[in-house]
Amino acid sequence: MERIFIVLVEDQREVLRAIANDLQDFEDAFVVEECTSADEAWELLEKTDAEGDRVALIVSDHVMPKETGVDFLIRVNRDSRFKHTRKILLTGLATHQDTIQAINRAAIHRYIEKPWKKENLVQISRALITEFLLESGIDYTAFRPHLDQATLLQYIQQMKA
Amino acid sequence: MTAKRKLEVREDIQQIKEKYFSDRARIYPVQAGECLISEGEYNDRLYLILEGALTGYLKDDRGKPREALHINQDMFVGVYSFFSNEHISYMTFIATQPTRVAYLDRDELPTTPDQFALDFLPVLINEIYLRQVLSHQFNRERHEALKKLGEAEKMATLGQLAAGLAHELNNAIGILESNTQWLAEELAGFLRDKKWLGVFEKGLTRGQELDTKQVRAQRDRLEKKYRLPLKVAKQLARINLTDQEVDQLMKHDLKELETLEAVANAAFVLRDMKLAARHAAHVVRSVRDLGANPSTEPAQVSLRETIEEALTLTKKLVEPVHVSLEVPADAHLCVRTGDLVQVWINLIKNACEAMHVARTAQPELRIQLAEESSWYHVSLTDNGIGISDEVMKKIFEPSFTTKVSGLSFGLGLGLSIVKRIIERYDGKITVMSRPGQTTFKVSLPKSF
Repeated sequence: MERIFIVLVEDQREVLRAIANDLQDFEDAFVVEECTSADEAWELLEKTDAEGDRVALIVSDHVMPKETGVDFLIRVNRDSRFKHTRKILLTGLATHQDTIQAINRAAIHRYIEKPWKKENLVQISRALITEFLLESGIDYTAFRPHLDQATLLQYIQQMKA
Repeated sequence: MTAKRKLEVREDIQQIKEKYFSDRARIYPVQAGECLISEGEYNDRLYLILEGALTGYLKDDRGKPREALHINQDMFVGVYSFFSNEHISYMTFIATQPTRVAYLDRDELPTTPDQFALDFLPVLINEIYLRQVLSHQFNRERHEALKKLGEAEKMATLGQLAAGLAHELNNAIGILESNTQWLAEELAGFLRDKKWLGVFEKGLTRGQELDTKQVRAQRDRLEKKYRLPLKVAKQLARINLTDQEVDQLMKHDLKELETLEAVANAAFVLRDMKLAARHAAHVVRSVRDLGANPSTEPAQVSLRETIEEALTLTKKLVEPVHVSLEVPADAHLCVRTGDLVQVWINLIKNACEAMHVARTAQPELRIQLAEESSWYHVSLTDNGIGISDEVMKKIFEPSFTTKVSGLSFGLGLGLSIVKRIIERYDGKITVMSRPGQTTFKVSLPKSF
């Protein structure tokens, strides 16, 4: 069976670990991958795709050496292989211009400011993963404990209508 | 245009000099510091300055004389009292250097009043014009001096604010740092008899040694080798156990994995906290120094001593590095010790961090002194990764940091402060780098 990935990108190792710790519960059903650079994350995305796996969610920092989070997410957004992938920009330092780029060109789904709250990050991740599963037509029943009920309900109601 | 007008006036003055101010009996010297005419006194003489200079003073509200006007060669003194009806001087003129003046008595004009007026009109207008220009210039200088003073005051206020802030923050950071230390020791004590003390201590001193890629590779390897769920393989990979240790764990069906992971994570977190506290302390110190109002006076110090002090302060960082200090003790400079120590600390820190990041097998730091007739050149050479061209361009910018490992302060505020300090002493800092050899050269003028 195909595996579903959650990819975290953050150049500061201790911050990366903190994000991973907060999202630990998802590891029962998803593969949570930690990357310290956009390059590393991109390599991972390529590999996932090559092996027939799917990327449900990317949580990326913005200010990183070499490629920024926004530039990386723009790259992801342009690639049709990841058209259903949900994108969160998690940052404490983005200029007005960066934010505009993130919305217009990277089509990010959520912007979370650092310092973040665990419940908030988990809640948003759940909702976005649920959206991803429904939109990609993946059988979501196997992931039930990790789904967002409200998103699911809304979807079912739309189906009925 | 202006030059031409001045030239014409100069000719006018020459004519007037010959016609009105050439009587030798009416030419006399004024010593520097001597008063030519005083404010409020009767005066019916018009003075022409043949050579030298005078300063005009006006009394302020409190009766204190204030500089108001500078008079040079070919300018007139006593214009107002001479031409007005009251013949009372409104300014005091004191010679600032040996001066020679010629004068004209109001009652003994050598020509008719009409001719006199005709002759003097252009030079007097020029005199007024000149005085106005000088007064403008004078005002501008005063304005600039005031602005400088204002800026100095602002910096002093900022410095005080930074010092106050630094003090408060240092207390808070101190508590975090010592309590982290205490917690780490308590935990180590608690784990003394447990078999996982080694994992804890390794995590505490070395942190997470594997990067995310290596963890992933290790995870995938363990997953295959032991046929483990991915989540469990990842837990094992993160802790960075040897295969023997994993074998041990497997014997007990991984029962202790949760505990082990908690122990390793606690160690990583404590290490992060310790580094974060150190980082915060460094930032605070840098900010304080940036705004600091230098309170101590520069004094003769031995260059070598300042470097030795910096090496002492960075002892922990320098421990694994082989340092050769090739600076004779007799090289002296007139500086604030703290300034130079701050420069060396930042450069030493950068060098050590560069070598640490590159995992340089035999880290070396050479500190050498080269002497020129009027300069000292101190160079610090390390065998770390070197600085990329990209980084090189921005290296001295205040907000620039390489942020290599996140927690290390890297080249952040440090190098911009270094540059500022060195420039304060009219010195220069240059950098040359290739992989395996980076040299920062600090040049300081001996005469400062």
